[in-house]
Amino acid sequence: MNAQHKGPMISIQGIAKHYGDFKALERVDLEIEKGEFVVLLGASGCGKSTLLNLVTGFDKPTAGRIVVNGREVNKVDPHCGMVFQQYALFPWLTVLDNVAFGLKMKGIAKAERLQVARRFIDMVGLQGFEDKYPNALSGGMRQRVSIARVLANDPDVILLDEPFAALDAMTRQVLQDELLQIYEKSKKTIIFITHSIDEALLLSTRMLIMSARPGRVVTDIRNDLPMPRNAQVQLSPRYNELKGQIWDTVQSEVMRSLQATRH
Amino acid sequence: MTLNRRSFIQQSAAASFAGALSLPSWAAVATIKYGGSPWLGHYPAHLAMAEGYLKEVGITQDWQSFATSSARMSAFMSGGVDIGCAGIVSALALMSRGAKQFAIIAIPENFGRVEGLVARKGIDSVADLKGKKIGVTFASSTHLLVLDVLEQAGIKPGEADVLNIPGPELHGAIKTGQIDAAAAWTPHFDNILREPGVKLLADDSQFSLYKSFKVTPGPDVLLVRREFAAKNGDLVKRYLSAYFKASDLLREQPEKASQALLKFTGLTMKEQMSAVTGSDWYPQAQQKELLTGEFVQGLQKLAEMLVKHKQIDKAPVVKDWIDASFV
Amino acid sequence: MALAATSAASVLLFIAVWEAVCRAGLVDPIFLPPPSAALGKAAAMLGDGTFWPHILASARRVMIGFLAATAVAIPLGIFLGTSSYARAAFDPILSFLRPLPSMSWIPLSLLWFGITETQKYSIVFMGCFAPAMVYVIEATRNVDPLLVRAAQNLGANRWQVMKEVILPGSLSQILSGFKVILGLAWTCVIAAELVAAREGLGFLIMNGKEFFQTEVVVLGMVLISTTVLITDFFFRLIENWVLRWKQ
Repeated sequence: MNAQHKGPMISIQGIAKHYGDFKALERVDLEIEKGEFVVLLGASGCGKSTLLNLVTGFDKPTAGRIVVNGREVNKVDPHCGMVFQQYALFPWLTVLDNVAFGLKMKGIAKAERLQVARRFIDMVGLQGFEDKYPNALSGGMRQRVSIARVLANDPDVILLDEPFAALDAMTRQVLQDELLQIYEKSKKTIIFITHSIDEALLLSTRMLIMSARPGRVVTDIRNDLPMPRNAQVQLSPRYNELKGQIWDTVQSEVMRSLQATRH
Repeated sequence: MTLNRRSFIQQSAAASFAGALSLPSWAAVATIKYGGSPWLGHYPAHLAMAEGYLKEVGITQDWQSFATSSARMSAFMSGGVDIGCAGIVSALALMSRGAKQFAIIAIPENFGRVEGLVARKGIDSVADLKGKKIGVTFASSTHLLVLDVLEQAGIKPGEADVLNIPGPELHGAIKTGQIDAAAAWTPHFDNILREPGVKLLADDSQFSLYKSFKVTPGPDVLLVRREFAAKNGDLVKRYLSAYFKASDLLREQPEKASQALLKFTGLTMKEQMSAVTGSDWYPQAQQKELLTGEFVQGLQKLAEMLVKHKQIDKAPVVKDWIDASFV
Repeated sequence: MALAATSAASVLLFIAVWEAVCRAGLVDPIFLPPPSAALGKAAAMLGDGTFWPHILASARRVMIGFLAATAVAIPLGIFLGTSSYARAAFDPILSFLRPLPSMSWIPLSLLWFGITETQKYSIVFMGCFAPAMVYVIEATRNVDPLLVRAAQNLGANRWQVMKEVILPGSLSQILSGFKVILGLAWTCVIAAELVAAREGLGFLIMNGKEFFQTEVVVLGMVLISTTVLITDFFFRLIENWVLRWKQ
């Protein structure tokens, strides 16, 4: 674990991102504490992915700054590990080499980095598949490799941009469970983007509902549902209450943005 | 403009009728395609055109340029030229394959003193060329000269490195020491001889067949396409009369001829005079003797020598290609 | 199986018709020699030991020139493909070099390298280098930018991105482009062997042409084509091994 400075893990200060006239993000201020599982929820175009790209350093903000673990973000940093929706696995590398990639970039010796990689491959339940190439794997397995690859690099923060959207419902459920287990074991700070209110309620400790035109955070809700979020919890009245709350907010935002596009 | 068949026939008939009325038949201007280059073998043909001799006999010469003898020979085969001077080696190569498309109708000149084998400082005789690099343009007269003088000096094939280098490159190659000796013809030959320290090892007078038959390694011959000659015999005869008028000019008034050639060859006056006076321009009167006598025997021996040096597969019967009827 | 048999039968039929047309005297043998003449020449050359030296000389010149050009073009091209400043600096030079046919390099190469094998390699190199660069740069542009982002996110610096992502990611396109370049290398060798050569398939063809030995010309062409096909075959084996992750 990297040296933890005092204060929030992620500090987003006065962030704005404009593309010409289009305001992808405007006036975003928020702080994320170490160990939070934050879910960004909202309709398309509300700036969720844009915000994530600013945190990882893929893009630069038009205004404001972001500080991660005491360091200001001004370039791409492996301390924020990103899991992409399209997996972004290196097709010419085996599962083992993909997972060991970050360690290789750090200059860690071969024997050691393969050993570490194997550990994380086991953690995501892919033992036996080390020597397979990505095109031999199913979507769910590829995403697991992607998660293992990020984990092996031991980042401070893990960012996931709709990682399970392309998978079928059953695989998604399995992966959601695994992600929660990894979260509990590793206590990493996580930012997770989704369209799905149920997914947000299932995984998060905190939900940020965003809205478009301009992109900003509309609601910040703490998720006090107890862990583990088993079937009982998912059918509880508190679950439905939270869901209803979110639903209304999201609904009105969606209506508003639809009206805006009609002009 | 579209022509239907009727109007085309009408128009052609009208044109030929008008043509027949306007000029006597022999004075109708005929065109002959000549395959040439700035090489001295083409001087008579060029002068005949430049000095107006061809126009006097009602012939327009369509000058086609060819950089190599083999390219010119290909044009003879395909009908692209009707008449032209060519090095005998390329002609012999085709003759040995049985190509009957052309015939030898005249011998323009003998250029024995304007080509030879030149070596860098330190090499004093042909025998010293053992183990050395010699540059020469393959399938040319100089190529055969090199093979012949090497053999005369007792050097076996493989004991000297004979490399194919095009004419214009030879000067640079010997100057920079990439080769130890170069066999070239004018003007490259003259340029190389001007380099300090070089020595002339052999010219055509050392050629073994020259000593016996007065045949140089690659004499020029004037060729005509048989198909063309069969249809235009009279035209060919008129052509030759203008041609030899130009040869006479070269032989009797070299300064005037050189002056007229300068623009065509791009040489300096000195170089041009050297090329013109360095060759013997055969007159029309001598042609019959050349085409039927010892010279032809010499050409036959040349063919056999080419076979011996593995340049061609078999020797053709040279006299089957000689046609002395036009001179 | 049936398809392969059809191809083989087609080739044999073509050769048979060609031979028959020549034997029937329909064509002057100078213009079109029969395949038997070319084969006869091949047999004669095998007999006096001149057959293999020609093939091996040309093949050696092709391989060395081609490998040198590709060995320089791949890293340089990847570097240019990723750095817009480097590309701006090099583009004018490449644009100048690309249209030049390999033959135009013969005079300069003779001055610089003399009459040596290096001079021949340089002709092949100059003919292949600029097109190879173009292929490599084009291939780097087609690497999925998401993979570059993923690599950067995992801590790769600029050079690591080039070596670990751009290079393997563009390799597939590079290799298919290089098959074309290999064919180009053969045309360069023919040009290189026009001057100051003693052996080689280009020399063989040129010499045959000078002496109107058309069957030698045909034989030379057949040998070139066959050698290219064989090298193509090995190239494809290498390509399949390198790209084995594609399945």
